[in-house]
Amino acid sequence: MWETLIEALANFIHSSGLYWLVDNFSDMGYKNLIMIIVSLTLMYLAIKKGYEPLLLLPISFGMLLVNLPITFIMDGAMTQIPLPDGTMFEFAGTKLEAAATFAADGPETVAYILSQAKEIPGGLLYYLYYGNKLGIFPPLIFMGVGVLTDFGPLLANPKSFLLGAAAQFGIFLAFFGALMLGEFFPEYFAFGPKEGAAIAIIGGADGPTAIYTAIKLAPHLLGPIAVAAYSYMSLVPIIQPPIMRLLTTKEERKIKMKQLRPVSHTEKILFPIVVTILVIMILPTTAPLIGMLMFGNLIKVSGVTEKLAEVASNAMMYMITIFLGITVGATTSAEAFLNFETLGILILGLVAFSFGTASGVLLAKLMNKLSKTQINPLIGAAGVSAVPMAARVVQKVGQEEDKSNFLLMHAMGPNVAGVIGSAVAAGVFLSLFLTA
Amino acid sequence: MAEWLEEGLVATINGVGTVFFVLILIAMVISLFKYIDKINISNLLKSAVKKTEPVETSQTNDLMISTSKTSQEDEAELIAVIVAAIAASLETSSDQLQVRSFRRINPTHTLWNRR
Repeated sequence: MWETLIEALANFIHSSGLYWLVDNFSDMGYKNLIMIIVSLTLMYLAIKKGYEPLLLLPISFGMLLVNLPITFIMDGAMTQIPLPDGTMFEFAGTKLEAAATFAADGPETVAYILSQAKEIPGGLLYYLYYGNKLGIFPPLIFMGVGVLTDFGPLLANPKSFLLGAAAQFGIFLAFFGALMLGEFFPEYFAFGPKEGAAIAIIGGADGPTAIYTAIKLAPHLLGPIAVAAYSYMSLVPIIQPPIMRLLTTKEERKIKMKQLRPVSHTEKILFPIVVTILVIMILPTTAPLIGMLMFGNLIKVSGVTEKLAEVASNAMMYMITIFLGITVGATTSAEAFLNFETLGILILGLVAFSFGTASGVLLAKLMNKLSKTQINPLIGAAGVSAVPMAARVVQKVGQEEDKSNFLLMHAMGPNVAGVIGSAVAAGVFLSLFLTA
Repeated sequence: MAEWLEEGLVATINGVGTVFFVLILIAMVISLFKYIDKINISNLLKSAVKKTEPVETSQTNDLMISTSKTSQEDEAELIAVIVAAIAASLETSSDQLQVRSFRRINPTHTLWNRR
């Protein structure tokens, strides 16, 4: 009896994650441990420092779950095939996939697999991840963003669109950078045009757009890209102000802008419809992102579907945020995250972000020189979406010079134009490389 | 030119060009939006002018009923009073009458003056 008990205990210990960690420490275990520490650090930043907690907390928790040893929470289905000699053959995939793989061995083999093999379902997050894999979650989040976005300031000052476009320069610069890394250091960075495009979109400072593009073009880099995108978005108040101050003079930062004209209800209703038709006609690949963003906005501004707007921007958006966050976090397994590529992504993301900010400010400076009405160049920085954080940063930097200067509403124009701009940039990449 | 460089340049020119083209196009269309209300107002004025043209009233024994164009509530109250008065003079109840249209006649040409 004792022997059985001790054997059961030994089996139990052998099947524990802790045993695996100790047993495989020098091989894989230490990487898992590093990732667990990274996830705990992100959790600390989300909870204690309030860095984008709505997404960083689910992402970091997903990261923790997938890096705890042998949870198989992100693994797909497994098929166990009993062989005639009594041993068990394990096939990574469903029963049908196993049958298809061994179809060449003849119909008897297929029949044997289908009748004898046992399929073990995949992990929880593996299935939830389908919402990302199939490109469903990011556009749904965009719908909620659409409800929460007020395009009024943009309608009142259509020139803001130029600033939203200029701030996308950073994306293309980072794209170039990624191609360069892939060309000159191929042993460290396996970056082709698809990977480069997915990484560069981080500069759009728009979580759902970055995730959507990564899923479509470089799903193997989704984890690091999402983590980089959300980390930099939460660091907007730290990254942007020095660049803004560097590129503007004290006098320019003090410029007070003319009050925006009031925007009518009809204009607000027409805007999402017109943008949907125009943008999707030109770039059909933007249909999921722009379509959902504008639909969300329309159900709010129409004034006849309040309940829909409420659900899309509250219950539904939070639900999807949970699924999206935790499954994106689950893509950051140790082997997918702890490599030079992640480092490259973090650097390129920062390049994209900084240059986006700079190009926005520079174009705003130019517009100020050419325009009859004065434009405060600071509002150009808000062109890198990151709504509404980037606009708030503009307001703050503006008020450092002049307490009575209120730039927030003026910055909201380029800010929401940036959302459309980065979705268009993503659409361009998708149309160039999706089928390539 | 190296292949990666060419690819990068093509994508960049294409991308920057498309982003600017699309956003400038939207900006141009949106800048026309400010005229919408002006068009709306002129349309409203036109339709308002049409509405003030006389429209003959209904079954109420050729009675011309005038109404003020103040607020909707005032109008409803006035209609109720007038209908009640007509009903009383015709010795019937107000639900037997149907009001189809109202218009205000120039005060110097009221029914009283016509008599």
